[in-house]
Amino acid sequence: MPRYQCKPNCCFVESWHKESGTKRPDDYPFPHVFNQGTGDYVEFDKAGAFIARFIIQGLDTDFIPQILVSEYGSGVKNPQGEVAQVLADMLPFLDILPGPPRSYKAPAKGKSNKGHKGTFELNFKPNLIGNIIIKG
Amino acid sequence: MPLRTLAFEPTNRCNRTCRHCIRNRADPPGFLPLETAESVLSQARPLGFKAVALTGGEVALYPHLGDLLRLIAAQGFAFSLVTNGCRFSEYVLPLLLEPEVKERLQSVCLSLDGAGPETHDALRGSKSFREVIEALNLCRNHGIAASLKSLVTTLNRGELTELAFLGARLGAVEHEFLYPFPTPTLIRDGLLLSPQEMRDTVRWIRDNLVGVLGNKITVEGYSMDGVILNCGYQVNTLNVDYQGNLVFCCTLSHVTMGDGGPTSSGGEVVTDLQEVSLKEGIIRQFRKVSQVMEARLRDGGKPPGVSESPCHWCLKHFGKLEWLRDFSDSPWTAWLMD
Repeated sequence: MPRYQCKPNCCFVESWHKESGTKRPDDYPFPHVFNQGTGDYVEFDKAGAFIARFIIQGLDTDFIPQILVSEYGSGVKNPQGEVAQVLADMLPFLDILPGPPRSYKAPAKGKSNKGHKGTFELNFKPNLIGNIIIKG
Repeated sequence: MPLRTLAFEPTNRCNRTCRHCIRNRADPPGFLPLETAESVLSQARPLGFKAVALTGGEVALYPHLGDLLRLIAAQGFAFSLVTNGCRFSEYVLPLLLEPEVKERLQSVCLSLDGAGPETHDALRGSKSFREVIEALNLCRNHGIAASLKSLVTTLNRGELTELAFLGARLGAVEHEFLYPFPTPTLIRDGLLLSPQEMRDTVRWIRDNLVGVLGNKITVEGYSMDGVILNCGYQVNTLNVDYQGNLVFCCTLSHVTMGDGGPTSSGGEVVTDLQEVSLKEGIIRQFRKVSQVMEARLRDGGKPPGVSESPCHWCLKHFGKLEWLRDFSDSPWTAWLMD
């Protein structure tokens, strides 16, 4: 399952404040995701905000139902469905998080030379392919 | 191997009551005085110590954690810490992200004992799975190396592959599967594999998980490399408990004796670092290493269990397994005590 992050103009407000604990913005006293460019926003209740928090953190979304069960136990009846519902509400505000870059450099053209003497000791023990080629 | 690492137990307090925990919950809560930590750190640097490991208890419950981390960083030590994920996003992580602290942070170690909440939380309590996964994910998001420890029990033996994959998917750079220490609760609750099952499981992990995934997978606490050469902990790490004592090994610190009473410390306490200098403490530590090594050599490999796990040998040597005799039906009693 994909991982997500907020689009550049978007922000998730969990309505939690480091110093004051429960302080919430006066005009929006609920957890919500919003788009600064368009003014669109979606508000969440407690369970929705809990799920949204992990989506925003870029956690693989297939882990979130398990997290929901860990937090709320048997009270969660349809964890996959509930996560899918919150994700659907949030999708207009999200981009798929790209995977980590995988280092690869395209091969350069091989450099051709002449005059190989072939006088060094042939020891290809660590590399069976090399060994086979030499024997062949 | 040089003596390079200081292991601090900042507190014995923990917010969880994990069923496998070897620490004595009957002990009153205690916190390492910050001035003691500062004194030990300032003595350690000129002696060549390079790193600090913070264990516990739960470090997030240590009231001076920020000050301690800044002290460690300011004195140029690299450090790692073990946490159960408690208060991670709102308290521990912001401290770790302070630039001078993050620069010295080597890794955060978390415990994950199941591939899902049903297994993990059954051992560690509700909401623990959520806390661990969130902490791991936040570490990944902030470029902090995270490692995992997983205790092998009857609960998770059938899902070790899923557990290893979960750790790798969440970006854990290292994943240690732990050989368990017997505790009364583990035995009473049927969570402890038999010694033979444990050996088979260790072999299975080595054959099927080690080297398969991109991260490093190991089995900690178990070794067949010989009776004396399979533990070098006491000669490369000094363990300072929350009372400021130099303790021979972290495994021996305030271990449950199964009687419900507070810890009665014994030979594992090397000295009180609030009374003597670190240099004197090191001298006494090495005297004890010498005594323990001699006992180990003379003891040989009997009973068989203690030679395979150096931690079991020391637990027995320091009298921390006597309670096992009350569990005469447990195969661990014959394996370790007879």
